Amino acid sequence: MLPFAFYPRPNPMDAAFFTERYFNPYFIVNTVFIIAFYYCNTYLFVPRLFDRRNFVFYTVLIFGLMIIYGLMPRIYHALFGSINFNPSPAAAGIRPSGPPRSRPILSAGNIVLFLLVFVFSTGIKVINQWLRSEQRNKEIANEKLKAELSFLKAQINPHFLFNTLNNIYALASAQSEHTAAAVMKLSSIMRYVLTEARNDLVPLEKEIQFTSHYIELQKMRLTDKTIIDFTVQGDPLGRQIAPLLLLPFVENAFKYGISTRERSPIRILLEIKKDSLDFYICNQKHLSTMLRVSDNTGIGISNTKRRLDLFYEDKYALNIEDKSSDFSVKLKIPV
Amino acid sequence: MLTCIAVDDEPLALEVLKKYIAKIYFLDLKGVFTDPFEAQKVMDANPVDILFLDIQMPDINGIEFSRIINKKNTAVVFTTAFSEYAVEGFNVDAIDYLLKPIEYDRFLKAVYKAKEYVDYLTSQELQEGYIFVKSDYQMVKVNLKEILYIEGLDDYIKIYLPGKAILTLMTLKTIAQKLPAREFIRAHRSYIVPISKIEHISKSKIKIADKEIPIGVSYSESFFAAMDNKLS
Repeated sequence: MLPFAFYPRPNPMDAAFFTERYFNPYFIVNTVFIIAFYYCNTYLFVPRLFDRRNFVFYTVLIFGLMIIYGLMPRIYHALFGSINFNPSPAAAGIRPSGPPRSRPILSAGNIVLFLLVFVFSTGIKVINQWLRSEQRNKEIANEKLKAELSFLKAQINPHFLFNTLNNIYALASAQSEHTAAAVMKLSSIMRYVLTEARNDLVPLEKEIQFTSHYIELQKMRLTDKTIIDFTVQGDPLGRQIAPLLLLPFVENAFKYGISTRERSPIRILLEIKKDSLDFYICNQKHLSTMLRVSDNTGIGISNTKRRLDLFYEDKYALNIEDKSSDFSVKLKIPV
Repeated sequence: MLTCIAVDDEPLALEVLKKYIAKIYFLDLKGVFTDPFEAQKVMDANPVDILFLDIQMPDINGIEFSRIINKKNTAVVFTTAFSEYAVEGFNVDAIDYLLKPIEYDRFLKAVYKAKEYVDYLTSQELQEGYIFVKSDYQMVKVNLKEILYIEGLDDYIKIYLPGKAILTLMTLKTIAQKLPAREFIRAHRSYIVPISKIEHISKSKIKIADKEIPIGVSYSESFFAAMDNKLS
């Protein structure tokens, strides 16, 4: 209803003027046009043309419409004659608003009205969109921050951290020669998680080194019932990978594949091929562990899946086999 | 002496506990286990006073495990590296809850707490405990707190109470198993004595209610060890 705001206000006392001026066919056509323009501009032209950076066409369109609207009195006159063109002078005694023959070709009033409506509708729309996109950006930034935080929290499992510290404490209090090495490994994996893992991509050799340090620290904690076979084939030099992709699978294997009662082999194989990394991990399942850990199974893995989707889109292959006796994961990613 | 066992899935964590336990003179370590079910077997055969128990273990959660063994006379001290289980730990009547790495002072405190609990249980048992023994074709009730000492006579034993003695067909070994082990101690091949009734001890004799009881040479060491935490 915005266009009405721009019409000159009649003297409210003068009912006859009101009727004659606002209910003649020319006025209605004129008004319908500008209202139609307002809505078309807001819902059609701005989203379809302006937003898609089709500025030339948009400008031409707006300009064209403006000319047409400016010519409205003429066009109307040409089509329907001037019968109802002017309200009867008897109605109000004011000057008629329609252009007499001596007036310029374009109606100045119509042009001004058109420009006002244009500025208003486009302006509101653009400001609105700008505000909205600003908010979305904020939300995205927020989400990203949250994701990063939860990511960090999830990656260094406090249970692992404190138990490893306790083991180092045991080594230190026994004045074991392995103490220093264990501290180095822990500090190296913490540094990796806290600094490198912020990057989108890290050198593959660092990820492998991190994984192997993690495995060695786990070994220190475990009994000799756990037999770990960790093999790396190929040369990681010069390759890159999204950080901490492998850890959730390795963590998972240590979480579910360990028993202090039964032999618990864990096999991890990293094959670096011409343009891909093939990762394979397999652990035996234990009845007692399966019964117990039904709670948060696979949260880490589903997070990793999401990261894989985001980062490698359809260029990766993840194959999880959950058999009755063992659990294995095959992951192929481009590096 | 208080007997104890430590269970943790991590061998190095057990090393620390072993070392600490060795430092405390009244603790007698009966074994350390990475497999809780091995520990269970041992405890079923010979109940212990204190159980040091890890919470996060691969085969069974320590809290569940303590529910399973459900030994009223065992004081459970939980040890864990990560504290999310603290509240739950106390829900299963844990005596204390130690965060790894455990400081020795803190460990000692937990052990004294456990000792207090065990002593309390023993005195409870002694105050309210009783046994029935067969004597003269009837079952006779004997309140444990009234027993002055027990004398073994081949296949019979004589339970001395203030003003009387009950003769029953039983061996000293059998009755020893029915009595609270911390209170009733073998002092001699033929005598079991309740510590709280001892009036005085010399190198080779105990005096209870005007009766002098010899301390057997082969029982001397274990007797004085059991007396240890009562001696000042």
